Amino acid sequence: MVKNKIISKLSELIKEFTDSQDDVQGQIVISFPIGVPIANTWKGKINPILIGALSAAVKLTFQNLCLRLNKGNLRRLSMSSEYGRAIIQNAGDNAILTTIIEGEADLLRVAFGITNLSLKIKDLLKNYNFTGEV
Amino acid sequence: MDEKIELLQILNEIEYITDFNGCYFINVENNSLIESTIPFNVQKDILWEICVLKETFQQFADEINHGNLSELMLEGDKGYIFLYNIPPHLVLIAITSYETNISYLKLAMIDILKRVRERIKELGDNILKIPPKDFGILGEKLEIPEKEIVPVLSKSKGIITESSESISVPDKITKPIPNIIETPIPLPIETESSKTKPIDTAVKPLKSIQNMIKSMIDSLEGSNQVEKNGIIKDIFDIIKKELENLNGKDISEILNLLKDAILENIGTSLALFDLSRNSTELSKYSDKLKIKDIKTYQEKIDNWANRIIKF
Repeated sequence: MVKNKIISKLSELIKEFTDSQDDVQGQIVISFPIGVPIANTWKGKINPILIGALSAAVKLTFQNLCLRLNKGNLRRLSMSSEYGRAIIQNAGDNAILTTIIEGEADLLRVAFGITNLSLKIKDLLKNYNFTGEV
Repeated sequence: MDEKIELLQILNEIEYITDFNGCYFINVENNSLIESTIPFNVQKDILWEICVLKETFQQFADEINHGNLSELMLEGDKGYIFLYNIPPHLVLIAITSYETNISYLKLAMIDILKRVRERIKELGDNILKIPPKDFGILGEKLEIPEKEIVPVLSKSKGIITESSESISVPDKITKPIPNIIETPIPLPIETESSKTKPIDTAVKPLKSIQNMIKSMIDSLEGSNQVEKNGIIKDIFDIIKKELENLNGKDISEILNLLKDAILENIGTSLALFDLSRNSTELSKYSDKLKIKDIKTYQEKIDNWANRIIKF
């Protein structure tokens, strides 16, 4: 499958998920290790350095911390703030899925959906490399 | 009451009330562990990054309009790690097993955190006087210097007798893991390029330093990865040497140039975010840095260089 086709399929996948869940405010798929967003349904602005740092945090720092503290491989990271949450999780070796949700969201339902979606993304991006070339 | 004892009491209380089975207080001002309920430390570079990440995630929360960051939860295969921001100087790390009921735990932590934050706020800057804990680092048992172990083992072999086949274990083996640790921030590695091209430390105006760095950045194009690493290391060294000659705004401009070059040639990293954040802070100062700040930034530059450049 050519690169553009993969990206458009990826965009469709996350758009479908975001639209189907009322409490999901947006999703961003970040490629790793380059650390840039490759698809997103989040309508706000995205600082590329910040997004890159998030991907490094999940794939390197926190993964390392989990191993050091004997908690195995990092499955996902949940960030709780005053008015909402963000769930950041691996979607295969090449990507990270960030889901931004409302504070009152049904976490169990959303988390279940995200796990399923991340597996689909992992499958879709399995040949997607560092430079974004396929 | 002694602040150190009070911190330990707080951590013990958290463990007593909740299912957490390991808690740490980290001082974000000097990236050190100051109190914990289990006698293990985490590596200095991870602590440094956790302290940076506190800012990273707060900025992310701001960008998505979610307000103040309250908690980070890491879900691993074998359990959970929670990170809480305890203003003004601390981060609380708490770990628990996979069987824990997370809903109960979170509910219990609402009240506990409120009290802990109030108490730590009252303690204020006294927290900064607490020295770092000197534990062994988790996962570093194998790195205990052989010199200490080998003589003991060879001595013990000599005690085995044919009749009893018993081994008398010397005291040294039964002792807990010795307090080694405190991994120092590694000093910058001297590269071939930095050896052959000595850096001119004479006072230069901003423009000439900028031009020198720009031409070095231009030379990145067409270089292989090892050469690129060497050039970027040289640029870090130049900035480090020129810190005392430039004001905050100037340093910020140069760091921004470098940031873009690294992003384009090496890729993103947490260290780059740290660099970017410090550059923003420096851009607010039009005066030259104080001696104390120069030392701090020299340490930071070494740290960035070591984390960004992987030879």
